[in-house]
Amino acid sequence: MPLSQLTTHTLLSLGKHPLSGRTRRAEQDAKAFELAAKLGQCLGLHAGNYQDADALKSFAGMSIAPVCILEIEQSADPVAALSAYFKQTKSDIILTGSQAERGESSGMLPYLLAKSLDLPVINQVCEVEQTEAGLNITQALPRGARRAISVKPPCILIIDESAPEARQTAYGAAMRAEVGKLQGYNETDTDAASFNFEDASKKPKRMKKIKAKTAADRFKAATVSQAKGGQVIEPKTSQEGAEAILKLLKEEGLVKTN
Amino acid sequence: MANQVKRVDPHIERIKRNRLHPRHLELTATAISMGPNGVIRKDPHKIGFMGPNGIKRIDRANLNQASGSSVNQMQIEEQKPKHIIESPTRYIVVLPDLAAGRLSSHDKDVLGYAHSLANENTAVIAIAFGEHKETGWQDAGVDRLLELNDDIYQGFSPEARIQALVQIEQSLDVAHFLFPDSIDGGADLGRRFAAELDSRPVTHGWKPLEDSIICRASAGTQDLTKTLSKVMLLDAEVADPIDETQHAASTLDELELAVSAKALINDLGMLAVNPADISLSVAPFILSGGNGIRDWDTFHQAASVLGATEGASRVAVDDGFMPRHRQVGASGIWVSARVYIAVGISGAVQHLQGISQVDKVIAINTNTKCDMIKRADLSIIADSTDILNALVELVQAQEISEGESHAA
Ligand SMILES: Cc1cc2nc3c(=O)[nH]c(=O)nc-3n(C[C@H](O)[C@H](O)[C@H](O)COP(=O)(O)OP(=O)(O)OC[C@H]3O[C@@H](n4cnc5c(N)ncnc54)[C@H](O)[C@@H]3O)c2cc1C
Repeated sequence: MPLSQLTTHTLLSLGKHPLSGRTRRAEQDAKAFELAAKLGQCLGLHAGNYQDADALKSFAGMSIAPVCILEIEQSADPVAALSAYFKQTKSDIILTGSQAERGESSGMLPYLLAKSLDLPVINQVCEVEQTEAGLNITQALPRGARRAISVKPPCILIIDESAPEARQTAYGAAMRAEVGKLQGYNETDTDAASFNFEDASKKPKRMKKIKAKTAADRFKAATVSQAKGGQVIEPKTSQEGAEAILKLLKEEGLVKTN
Repeated sequence: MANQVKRVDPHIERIKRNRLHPRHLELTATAISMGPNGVIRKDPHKIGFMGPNGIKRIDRANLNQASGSSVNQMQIEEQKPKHIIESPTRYIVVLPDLAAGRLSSHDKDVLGYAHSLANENTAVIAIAFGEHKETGWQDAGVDRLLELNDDIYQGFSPEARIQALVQIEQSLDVAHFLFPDSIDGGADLGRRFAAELDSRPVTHGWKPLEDSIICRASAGTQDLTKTLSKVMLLDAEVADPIDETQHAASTLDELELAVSAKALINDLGMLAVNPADISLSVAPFILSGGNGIRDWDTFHQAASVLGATEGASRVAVDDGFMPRHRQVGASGIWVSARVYIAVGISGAVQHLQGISQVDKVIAINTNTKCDMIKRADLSIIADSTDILNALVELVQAQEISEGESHAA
């Protein structure tokens, strides 16, 4: 039985090169777009100003799907606009990055959108597969671990860094592409108007604090090296040595205990 | 740490030697002795001591153990001042990640920050979702502990957890909910909860000011000062961890949570990952070989049997036994494993630099004097091939016996 055709939207934002500061495609969104390429019919959507159309062409240059701008005013809240859009246009999957490269970059957008549309949201997604029951999702956890999750569309998926690399954008295709335009719903984000951004100041390195109460402790802290040196075993048989190692591995939960 | 220190009181020693001293009997007499029939006898006249006003005192609570003996076994346990909140009127809730089941240093920093926001009527609650192995709640600054480890909270269960948090927010007067802004779970749960409450959170907060906090914005390239919010997601090192006070960490049980098990998101469990595919810098378990490996086939077999990611010292790489991207150290990869087994690696500084982030190091080496053994938590002085072979046999034997017990 052929699987039903899914409609997918990828939310695209403008990136900023961390060193040159030049406008570029947001890398995470590009990864999301790449993942959307294999999930059926797709549209790239950006809520913002139509003046940014040129910069968004780099997404169109990936030749995955058309790119469209949901036009809203400078001070308007993109979440409200997107929410209004998705209430009218149904989408099975909405793919987003985890954090914008400009502005507040709080990473709240997918969660707020999920709340207003009443959809499940899954973070750190690195693979999506369509099954008869819905979607099988691989979630990337720290230290290379992976978790399997199943969910029924419609849903919102937040892409992880470890998702497959996005393809490059082709300059010619990007220049030829037309960026669509839709009128978005405007709702002013009052908090954001008062935001005052400054260049990031450097985080100081945390110093080791010595909180000794007595002179003897202070003297010890200043003179004795902290290197403790662990347990040293000279095993009679190699079996004995191996058991000691295995015991520690079991304590750390790295080898299954029976 | 508990340090047993023996202290001799020369004053009592002198009284014990001087039979004419008024307190001589009191200090030398043994009040409890075996009677002629083997029955334990207590002599009531010999119990106790003379108080300052000439009245006999019996110390039943054992407050003054020092009196009969001149040697005082003193427990030098740092007696931290206790921080007890009897009847809090306001709460600050912290949701530690408990990555690997324990409080991470990031969790402890957030707990430290919670106390900087607390006043004398504020109790800091820590909520532990799922299973954990943590025992040091009291020292980390937890006034109240709420352990939620029913089945519905296990694994990836954001919906149940959010329901529980919403009910806690409704039933207690919570000033702030603090989350570590980390990929171990805090970043996700905190944002879900902020969206649920529809309150704009502080995210990536890193530098507390008087009534506000500086947050990282624009993916870490800019700073943005925000006022304190109900839900706050905080970066590591936002504040110093608590280490000078001892807290009650008493259970918070007056809460009745009604959480439905219905979920749209189903956790199907962890996937088996080939350890060789995990990038060396984040791998949790590394078996690393150096110039002391005689038999590389055994090494590879041991790595696959143990499920460890392979690493190597520079000499092993230069000699062509291992590929360059497996090299650990200053000119290779800086690893952050929880356990690192160094087989036949001497522990040159360039190598030790690369493993400075590692939790536990196990060394297998023939030389007791080498630097790796000074760094290691467990060192086995033996031939590398023998130990690796024994390890492989042991693990395989265990798997077979496990298989049989499952079959039975
Ligand atoms: C600029 C610079 C950068 C460097 N960067 C790195 C780096 O990134 N990473 C790195 O690893 N090195 C680096 N090095 C090299 C480093 O100084 C050491 O030379 C190297 O780490 C030593 O590797 P080793 O411990 O495997 O070998 P050795 O020093 O030869 O040690 C072998 C160890 O194996 C033990 N042994 C011998 N036989 C057995 C046996 N049968 N069973 C058990 N144990 C046995 C020996 O007792 C000895 O301790 C760098 C050097 C320089 C100059």
